Amino acid sequence: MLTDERISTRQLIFLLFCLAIGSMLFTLPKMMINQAQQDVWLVLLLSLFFDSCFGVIIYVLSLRHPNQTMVQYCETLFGKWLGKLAGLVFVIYFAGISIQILMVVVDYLATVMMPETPKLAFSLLILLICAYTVDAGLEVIARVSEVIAPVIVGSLCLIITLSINNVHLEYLEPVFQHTFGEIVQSSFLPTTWLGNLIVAGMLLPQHNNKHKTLLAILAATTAIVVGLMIILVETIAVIGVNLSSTQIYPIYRLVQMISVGDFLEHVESLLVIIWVAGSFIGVILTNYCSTLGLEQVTGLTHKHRLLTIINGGVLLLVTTLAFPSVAARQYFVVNTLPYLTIMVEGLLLGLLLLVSLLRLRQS
Amino acid sequence: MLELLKRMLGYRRLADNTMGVKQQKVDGPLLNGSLEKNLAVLQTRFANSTDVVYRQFKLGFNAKNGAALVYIDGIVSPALVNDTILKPLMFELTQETNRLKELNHNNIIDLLQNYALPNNSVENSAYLEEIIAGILSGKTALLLDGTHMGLLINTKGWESRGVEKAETENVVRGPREGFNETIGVNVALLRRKIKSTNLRIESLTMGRQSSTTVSIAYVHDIANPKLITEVKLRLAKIDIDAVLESGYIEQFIEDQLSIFPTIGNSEKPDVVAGKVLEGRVAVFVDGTPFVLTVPFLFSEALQSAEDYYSRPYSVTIVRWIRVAALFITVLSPALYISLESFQPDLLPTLLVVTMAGAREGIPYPAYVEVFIMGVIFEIMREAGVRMPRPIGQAVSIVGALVLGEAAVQAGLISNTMVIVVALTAIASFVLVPLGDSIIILRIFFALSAMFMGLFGILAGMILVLVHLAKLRSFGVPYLYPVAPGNVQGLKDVLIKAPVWSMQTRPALLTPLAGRRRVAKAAKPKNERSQQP
Repeated sequence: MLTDERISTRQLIFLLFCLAIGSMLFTLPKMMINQAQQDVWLVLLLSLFFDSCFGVIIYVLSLRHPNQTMVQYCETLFGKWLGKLAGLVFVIYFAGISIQILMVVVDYLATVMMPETPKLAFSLLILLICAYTVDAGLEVIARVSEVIAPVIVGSLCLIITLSINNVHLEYLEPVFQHTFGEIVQSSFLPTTWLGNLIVAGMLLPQHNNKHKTLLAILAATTAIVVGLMIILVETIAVIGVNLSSTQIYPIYRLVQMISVGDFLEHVESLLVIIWVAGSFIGVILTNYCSTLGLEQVTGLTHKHRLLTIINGGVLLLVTTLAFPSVAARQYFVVNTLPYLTIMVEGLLLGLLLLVSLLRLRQS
Repeated sequence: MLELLKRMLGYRRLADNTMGVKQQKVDGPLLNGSLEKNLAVLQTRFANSTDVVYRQFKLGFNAKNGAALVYIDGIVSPALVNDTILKPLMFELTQETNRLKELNHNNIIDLLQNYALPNNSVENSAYLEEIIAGILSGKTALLLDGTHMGLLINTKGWESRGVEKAETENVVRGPREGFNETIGVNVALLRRKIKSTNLRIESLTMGRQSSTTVSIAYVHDIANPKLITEVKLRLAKIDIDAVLESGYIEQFIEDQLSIFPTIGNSEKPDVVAGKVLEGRVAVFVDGTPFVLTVPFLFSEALQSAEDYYSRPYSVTIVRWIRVAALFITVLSPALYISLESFQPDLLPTLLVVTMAGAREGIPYPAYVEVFIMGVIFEIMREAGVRMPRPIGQAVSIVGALVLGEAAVQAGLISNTMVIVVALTAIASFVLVPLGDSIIILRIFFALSAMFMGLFGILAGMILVLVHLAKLRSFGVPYLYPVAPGNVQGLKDVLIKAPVWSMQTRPALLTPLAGRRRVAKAAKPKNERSQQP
């Protein structure tokens, strides 16, 4: 499936942007505000730093293996069986990201928009569309993101501007109420979610302008962090720390507060559903990456449609059965996921880099 | 050895590709030396078709020089036959007594072709099939006793519609003329717009029974050579009985199955000229005023010829209104269903109350209402197109009752629904090129809203978007220049930039050399004009 398809720098930025922003606007703000209160911007800056480091590692690795995906150079660097194992870890990790995004969106849809519809219906529909798109290839996914990303940016800009009249600047105080250690600890959570950008490792061989790869990764990361920062600070400024840390969807609450000219009201469903479109891209992209990785690990490069279906089926099963309740998932996200991410993204990526550099010295 | 063979085969295939258009094979039986036998053969071939005329006469008042004209009545002009064939041969030749003496079986064809026949196109042929094909296409065949050759003389002339106003693409400002049913006239109309040797016209015949002339037109140096080859290849693959309209060809040369049109058509020479000048290829088909243009992109469906003739600033607004119309006509029934049945909280409270009041007493849910009205409207629309003009008034009165106040008062549909249907209908007329797709999309979105409400609409939109992103028209992504994005191209999509600022041709349609338009940036300066 690794074809001669090519994506441009702009498409890469948009893809990564959609991937992260589509899932980060739903439940993450509550957890973050809960942990860091008014210092949430500092936490985000720190996570920008961490994730830029990941980005640089991925970039360096892609420079060393320009025509291989992350899963493929695992095998080059670690040898056949160990490499396959590491590749499989990445595949499962990508599928995990997919499940995360899917569950976040499905939870939102099932709790806020249509409480009477079973979650299975949502995940099935999303995964069906997802399979169709994965089958169409990366160029198509990139083009779709090129249409959706500007719309998401537009909706965010609209939310930010329309909420300005509700801002209470005094809600933003006090700043720096946490120690540095606490800030670092709370930055794990956004780092994890931003860390979804690790899928870039699967896309870079297909980037058509290798000089701008690093720029693209960093631009996407920065855009997401800046956007999220503005909107989180505004949420705190409009509804306050206490309310936003008790709401499941604080930004949704922020949008609900919008009321302009006695006419523009109740826009929350309309604006928020645009983010769902972004999460579609996220699910599709991670699904594409895990399918591609699965193909490369198993060597079944011609069974791409079959693997897409299998992958989708497994995702559906896991999404439906994995967590008994929203609370259980939230617990997992806050207390387990960050460490898993650090294991995979920090250790495994670091190890890859190390081996890659050592091999360079050897040869 | 194998390599060499492969290379030769590869080379052969390449040569075939570049040739593209199938050469007409001239083969088969030759003409006979005897006029009687030739005529007999033709008479058996044409059987007892009564429209074939066999006119036997003698050349130059000499009983020995037997000759015959064969033509088909109705597609030749009798005046041309009389003035350019019969008169010179039967009358003027008699005055050239010396010449007449020199005439023998060997030089007669040459003499007639070069000296005697004052006609603009005289060809000779020894092949029976060529003669028959010529006769069928409106030429007159001149057969002579004692020679193995015949002459084909151009006498084409038939009744046809004049160059009239294009019916489907109305403009307020811009040329009015439209193509008609004769391919020669249509190509000439294009040639009059582009007076350049770079405008190339290539022709082929298509259809086993119809032998329809199909011409492709492109501008050399602007159109991508690969595109031209591809068009020829796809046309060459077509093998059917008859090509009665360009729609036949359209379905054969599409890239993939889709409800969206990936081949454009136009009735206006200026539109075709504009598209050809952007690097597209036009396909003319004899017998229809609709000329195909490929590749066709989604953005073209939202454009009109007039956009380029009017002042650019208002056109930008008009284009966005068209986009809005597209969303309105496709989504409004679906939104109505989802707002009525799933998410009434989206609307302002007062409006919800009003809408609920309007729906009071209506015996079925919103989606049934939408489908009933949708079907009724489509019936009305179809009737409006097909009905004979005199019945029109009756249909509109009845239609107004069905779709209007009476239906509301009868308690069958709600006021809001009438507005939705009217809005849907009017907005759909804005986008003529997408007319076919819009109906299907409307039903699709109404169904998805019926099952999943607003989320269903979103999922449907993503699906349609993915489909659009997947589509290609002759290799060019359908959503270009939006996705894949191209800043220069967006000048003609998101806004309508003034003509002087659009200095490049669409990047995906033309090779690099043909990209830059000749015009330099000539932004009007604020020069103080001299008072006279």
